[in-house]
Amino acid sequence: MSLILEIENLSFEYDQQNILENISFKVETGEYLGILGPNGGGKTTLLKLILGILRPSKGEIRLLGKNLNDSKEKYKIGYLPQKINGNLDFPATVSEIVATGLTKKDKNSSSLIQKALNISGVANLQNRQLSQLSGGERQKVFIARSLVSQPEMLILDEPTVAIDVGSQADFYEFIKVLNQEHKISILLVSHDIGSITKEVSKVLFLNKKLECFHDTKEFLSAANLERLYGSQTYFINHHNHQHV
Amino acid sequence: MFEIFQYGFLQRAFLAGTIIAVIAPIIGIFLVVRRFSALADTLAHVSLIGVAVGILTKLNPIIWAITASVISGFGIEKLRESKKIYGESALVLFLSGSLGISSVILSLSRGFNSSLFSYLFGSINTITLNDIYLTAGVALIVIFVTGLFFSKFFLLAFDEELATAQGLPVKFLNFALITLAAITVSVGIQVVGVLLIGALMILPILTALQYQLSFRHTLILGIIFSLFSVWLGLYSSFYLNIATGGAIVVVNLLFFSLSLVFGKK
Repeated sequence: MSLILEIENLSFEYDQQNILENISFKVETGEYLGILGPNGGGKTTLLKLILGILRPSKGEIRLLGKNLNDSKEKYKIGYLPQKINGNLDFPATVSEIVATGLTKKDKNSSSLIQKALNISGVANLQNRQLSQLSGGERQKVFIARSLVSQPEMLILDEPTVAIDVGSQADFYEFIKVLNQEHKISILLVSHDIGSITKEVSKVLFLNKKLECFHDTKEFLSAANLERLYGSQTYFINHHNHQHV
Repeated sequence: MFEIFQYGFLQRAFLAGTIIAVIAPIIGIFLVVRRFSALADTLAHVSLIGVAVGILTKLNPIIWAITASVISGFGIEKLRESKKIYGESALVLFLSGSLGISSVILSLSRGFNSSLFSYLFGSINTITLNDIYLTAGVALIVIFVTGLFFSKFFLLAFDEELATAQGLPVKFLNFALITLAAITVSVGIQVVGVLLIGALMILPILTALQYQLSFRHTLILGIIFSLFSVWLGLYSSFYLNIATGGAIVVVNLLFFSLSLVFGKK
């Protein structure tokens, strides 16, 4: 399998404090990777470095084999932030919001918008205003926005924060479809160990340093979790799922 | 009804007014949705420094107004970006500071004269052919640059962090928008006046927003409201012998009140 993302000896300092230290890992095309870690452990900083919002103090990020700074393919990373800072009363239709994800506009733009709306299941809402949608519908609109430039990798930062508990399972099911049917690599960031480990195939645990990078089964071993979280860990089996 | 167009000064006033009515909401919509409406008012007050210098030196006040408001626009953006003070406080600082400076300059020129009154409240009598050329030039720049960066300004207005994540040159775009706002305000004060140009940039958009349309349609409707307010304002200013800027704002207020009744919000 080819590599979509390579992180090598990445460090980031802010105000003379180490936020991230010497992180290295690789993401293969089509992988569904979870990033876990405590609050303040550097998860969002890592995402901002991958997105090019922040510059690393040391180390290198390669996207499809090229240094991120030189890459002209940054549009191949779609991003769904933890929280849309934007004004949700913004006077724009769903189509207009989705169109902001396009990196260039040409004659294919409207078909790309339509395709992203269809995949995300919000084509019927395209002429509605953002303020008229529920939290779950809005989240799908923002996923459509991140899909419109046809990314090869989608970064989701705590994507279920704005969604009610009842819709979270549907949301994760939809992400699985993107990963398995549309072959989009997923990088899912969360602090919720229970939900993330049900979905992803590999887990990266971050607490300023890369504490571990395993497939999910290995990550979920009691000894490993006790080492990372520093407290006793119990597993409960419920509806064929293991809860931590 | 159309006999007023036989006067050259009224032809110039309608021409300049029409151009300003088109460009004011184009910039105004981005200020409104970014909750930065007060910027228009602040830049208008800053441009009064330029007007005062123009009156003192007997050079074109509008050129000086553009210079003062563009420089201040950069200052406001730098202060906002540095987070040394809140963005809103930066606006008050520049607004009150510029009023202080311009009143000092005006007192040096011994002049709270009629020319100043026309810059404060707008006038249909004072617009020259050179002012028209300047206004048209500014309008071309505003329309061209906004057209070029429309989708980028849109995303920036919606969410600055998303714009950064998408690799947009956020700093450059912020400075570009503030510069466009500064030059729009400066040419707008000829017709509407320093104290009321902010209203022409903001009120038509607030009115259009009540109809819950798409962003583009909101802008188009805002321009239509702006055009009718300027035309009706100029017309009533001539026949009723009232201040032009005031008449334009009153028409805008009327449109806004009606939109509260007939709008969808």
